[in-house]
Amino acid sequence: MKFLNFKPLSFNARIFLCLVVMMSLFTASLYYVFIQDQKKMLVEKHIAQGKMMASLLADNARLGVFSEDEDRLKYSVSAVLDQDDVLEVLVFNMDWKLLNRDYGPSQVTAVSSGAKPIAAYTETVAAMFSQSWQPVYLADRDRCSFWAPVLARIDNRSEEDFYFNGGSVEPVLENLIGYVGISVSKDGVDRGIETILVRSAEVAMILLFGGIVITFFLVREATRPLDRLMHNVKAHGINVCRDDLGMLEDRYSQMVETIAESFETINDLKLGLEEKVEERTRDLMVAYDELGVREQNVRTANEKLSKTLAELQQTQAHLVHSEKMAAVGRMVAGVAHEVNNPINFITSAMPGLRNNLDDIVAILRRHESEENGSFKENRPILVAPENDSKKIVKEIKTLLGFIEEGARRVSGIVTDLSAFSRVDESAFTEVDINEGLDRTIAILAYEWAHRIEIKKEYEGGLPHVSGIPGQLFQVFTNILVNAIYAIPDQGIITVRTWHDKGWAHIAFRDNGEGIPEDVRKKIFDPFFTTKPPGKGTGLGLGISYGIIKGHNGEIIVTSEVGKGTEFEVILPV
Amino acid sequence: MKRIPVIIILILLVVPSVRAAEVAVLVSGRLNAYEEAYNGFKEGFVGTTSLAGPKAVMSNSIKEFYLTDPGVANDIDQMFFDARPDVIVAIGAKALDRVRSFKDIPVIYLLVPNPGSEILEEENITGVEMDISAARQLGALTRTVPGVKRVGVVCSPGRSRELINKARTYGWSEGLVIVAREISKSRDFGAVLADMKNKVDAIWMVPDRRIYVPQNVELLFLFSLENQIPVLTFSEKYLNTGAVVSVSIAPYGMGQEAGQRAAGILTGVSSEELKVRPVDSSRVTVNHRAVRKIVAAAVHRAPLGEK
Ligand SMILES: Nc1ncnc2c1ncn2[C@@H]1O[C@H](COP(=O)(O)OP(=O)(O)OP(=O)(O)O)[C@@H](O)[C@H]1O
Ligand SMILES: [Mg+2]
Repeated sequence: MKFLNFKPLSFNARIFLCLVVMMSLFTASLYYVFIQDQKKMLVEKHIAQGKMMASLLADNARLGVFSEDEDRLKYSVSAVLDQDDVLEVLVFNMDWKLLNRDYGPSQVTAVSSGAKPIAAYTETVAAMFSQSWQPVYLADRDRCSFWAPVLARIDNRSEEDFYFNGGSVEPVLENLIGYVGISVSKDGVDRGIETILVRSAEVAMILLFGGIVITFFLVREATRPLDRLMHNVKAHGINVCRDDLGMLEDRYSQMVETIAESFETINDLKLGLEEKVEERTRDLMVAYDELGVREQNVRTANEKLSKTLAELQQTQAHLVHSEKMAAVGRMVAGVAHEVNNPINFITSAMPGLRNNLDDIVAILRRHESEENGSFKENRPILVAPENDSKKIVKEIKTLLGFIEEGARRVSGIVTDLSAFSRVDESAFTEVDINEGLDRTIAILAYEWAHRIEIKKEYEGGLPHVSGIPGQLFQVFTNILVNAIYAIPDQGIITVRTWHDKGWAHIAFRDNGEGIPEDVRKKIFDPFFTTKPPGKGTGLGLGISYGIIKGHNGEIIVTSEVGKGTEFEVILPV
Repeated sequence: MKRIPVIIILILLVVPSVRAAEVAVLVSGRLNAYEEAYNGFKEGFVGTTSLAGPKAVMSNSIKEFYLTDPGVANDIDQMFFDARPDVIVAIGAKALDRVRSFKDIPVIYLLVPNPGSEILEEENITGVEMDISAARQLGALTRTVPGVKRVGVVCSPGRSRELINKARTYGWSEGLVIVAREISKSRDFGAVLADMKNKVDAIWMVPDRRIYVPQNVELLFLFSLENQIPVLTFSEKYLNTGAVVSVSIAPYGMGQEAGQRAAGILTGVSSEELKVRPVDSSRVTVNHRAVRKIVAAAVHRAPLGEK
């Protein structure tokens, strides 16, 4: 098995080689045993045949020997001479007198080879037959001889047997009357052995070849997993030498070592871990105790907080109220301003009108006096009566126009305000958004008209939205106020409306400072404001969000710092 | 001729006795021929005595003993001595040999080939000879194989000389030539036969045990077959081995003759009748297979042979 470890060969090659060698050895030994067996059998058969031939010849030659009749003997012997390999046939009488000698066809070679003449065996044979009358086989270097006794029946029977059939119980006795000897060359046996040798060798070679082929495929099939393993090993970039198994062994022991080390490390870690766990547990116990204390604290804090919350809620209600109040304040300011202008129209028309009225009165008095003759007006008439009257009427008309205009404006404002008077209504009605926007803008715009331009891009056929008008206008006011506040100096606010697929969109775009990212997340939170303390409540967008949600709508904010912000309100139509 | 008066005396001694005559039959063995002979004997004996008239024995009993039966061979002397039978019939040579010691009881033998001359001299022993006359034998041959002219016969010196002489006598009258050869050693038989090859038309196998040892019997029939020469033999036994025709004794007839002889002894007949004499009844058996093989071929060959 040493050569199994013959390193420079791969495992399959070694297995294959081993199997082939084993198979060859097996075949060879089998061949050897078979040949020996066949040889033995052949020789035994040859001997048995020879003995039988001698026995038959002895029986055949019985009469010839008995009567020493040469012709008869020749006739008996001729059948044996026909046999292959028979060299010589001898017939002797009981006293070893040669009765007949005949040569087979192959005798010539035997004689020329100087073989020992068969007659030289007579003494040996005689000695053997003195003990038993069985046929005898004698072998020489290149020939062998078979001998058989010639036996004659002895007439030992009763007289009656000579005459009559049957009845005799005595066994038939025989008497030795001569010998026959057949000399046979060994060529036949040798030829037979040679044939068997060649045939068996052929068969053995074929079988061996077949065996090797089958073994090759078997080994290849059987070592396929190993090949795959090697392939994998190669794929891992490990250099595979031809001694694949040895290399695998190395790899394996390396792996085992690594694993053992890993296990050690793990064990160490485990030990450390256990210590640490203990430590942590101790810490945790302490922490737990602390936690108890903290929990107590938290509980008190909680109580405080809930108290605070209640207070806050109260405060919030106050604040909401004050927000409303602020709005009202702003509105009142707006209304006051709005109303102031037309009132100015009226009031500024008043002095002129009074003057004109005085003029008219003067004229009238003059007319009276003219009629009465008594004109006691000390105030001079400023205009010629003709021209004056026309001029006055014209002036009056103009002034009345102013007054009318002022009165009309005021009544418009009042109408606008009436919309706000329904602020607390909670009933849903059909709201004309465009109209509502106009009114809101009208109320708010006065204060900042000098620095902010409001552009309106309404969609003409915007459908009415179902909602609470006061609440919606509050939302618009809030958004617009925020936009105005975000524009530090001059700026434009664009208000657009449009609708699609059952939704009405109202967008307010300003080109103000914009909302930074971190702020935008919080703008709808109540109380969130970037305004200085006392200036803003931070509730505006929070409330607006609630209102729009209440209308099943949405507010979307897009903003870019330094460029502006757009609030888009989307409401179901 | 000395023994005849003794027998007569014996018969005289026997006949007046009041007791029934007793015949003891001793058979050599269970051979078909013996059985036939025994049956023939009973026939001959009973048939003869019943015809013998008032002088005859009142009732006769026949007792049989087989030598081969257990116990018989050892006790037979004592049994005969005690029973004292009136006549002993010995069938076969062995039986005859056993009863020779009873010199005072008449013994009739049969189926004994060539009894010795000393037996023939005993006065109380008589029998039926197995020899068949030469004339009868050769006649059967010429009838079966008509063209036979020369008959070869091989015999021991001195033996069968009488038979051959009678044959020659018969041959002269019938136009047959007897070619006789005498040999003293059985192994010379083959050579003699070979020598006879072209000198005889048939071989006459005579009962001579010294010549016809098994090898020579084989040789004879091989020779017969090889040379198409028919063989005349003395026993049906050799028909199977290749003889063409046999002239043999008929055991039944022989038994009958012996039975008559026994009855004669018991009733007291003339001394002339008590002489040993050749058998009367013989039978000729032809082996037709052998005739076809040997004779037919010989006949076809005959014209050539005569040239
Ligand atoms: N158009 C806008 N441009 C820039 N920032 C805005 C705009 N609208 C709202 N904001 C930011 O959102 C914050 C919250 O607005 P909200 O209206 O809720 O409160 P406020 O305006 O600060 O206070 P109040 O409305 O009570 O005056 C504002 O402080 C502001 O920072
Ligand atoms: Mg605000």
